[in-house]
Amino acid sequence: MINEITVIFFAASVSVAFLAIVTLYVVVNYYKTLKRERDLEEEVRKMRASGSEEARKIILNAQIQATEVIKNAQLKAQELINASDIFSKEYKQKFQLVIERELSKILSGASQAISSQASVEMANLHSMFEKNLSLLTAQAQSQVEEYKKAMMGKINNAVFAIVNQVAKKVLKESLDRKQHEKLIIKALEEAKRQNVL
Amino acid sequence: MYSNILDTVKTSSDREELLSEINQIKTAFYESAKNLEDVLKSKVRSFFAEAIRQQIQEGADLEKYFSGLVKALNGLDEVKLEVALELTYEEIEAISNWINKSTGGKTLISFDVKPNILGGATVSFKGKYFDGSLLKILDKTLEESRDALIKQIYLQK
Repeated sequence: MINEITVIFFAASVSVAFLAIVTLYVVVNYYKTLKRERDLEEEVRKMRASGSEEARKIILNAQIQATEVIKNAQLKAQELINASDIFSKEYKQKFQLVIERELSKILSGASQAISSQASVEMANLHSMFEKNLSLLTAQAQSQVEEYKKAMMGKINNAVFAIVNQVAKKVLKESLDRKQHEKLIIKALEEAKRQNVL
Repeated sequence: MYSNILDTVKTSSDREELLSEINQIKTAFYESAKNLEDVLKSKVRSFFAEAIRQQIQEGADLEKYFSGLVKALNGLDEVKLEVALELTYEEIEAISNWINKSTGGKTLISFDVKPNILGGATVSFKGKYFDGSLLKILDKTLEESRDALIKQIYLQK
């Protein structure tokens, strides 16, 4: 019993001692890490301060160079403007005259060419139109004549049919018996003349 | 012998009628003398009845007489005429005379009435044909003068 208690007590003491060592180790490491972090933060702060200074210098240089470039550009522009003014004053009138003369020549030539071409085209069109018109007129006249002929033919046939009918009716009604007999004898005489009888 | 009978036959209808009468007489003749007289009185035209009586009085062989008459009737030529109207006996006689005179023999006429031919006649004889109708003459005349007619009609307008 005593031995068991001793063993338990001893085991408990060993465990506590072990936990104390582990705890101590963790604490020591924590403080080391904390210190390292602080060092790193200090280093970063220093580097930032140094970077800002460098950037400021670069921007300043750039501004100086930009100012120079603008100044140069302004000078060049002024030179160009001056040259332009000189050109305008000295040659503007001549240049305009030349341009106008050349333009006039080109336009005149073009106008003549266009006019000539247009005349030819107009003549061709006129000729073609006249030809087509003549052809169409001839065709139309021919069709009209054909139609007229056909219609006249129909009218004449109708008129002739009426005349035929009227003649038959008149003949039928106007013949007396004696005339009928004479006509029959006449038919027989003709039949005999033609060797039918 | 038969000329006086045949003279009365002008048309095909006349012939048919006469043949019918001959048949009736022949039938009666074989039955009895009384029947023959009855038929001669009631069924036969007078001119033919008289001719038969004359033959009986002369003692002729009636059978032979009828046989010869039928043969003579069937041997007659026939001309077919188309005419525009029904003809009278006188008209038929005149036409028949003309035909007989013209052909130099006895010829029967067969009439067909066709009003549309207007007048004149078409003639058919022994397979030959002639159109002497007024219709044909009119059509031909109108056709020949068609242009002149139409021109005249337009001028009158």
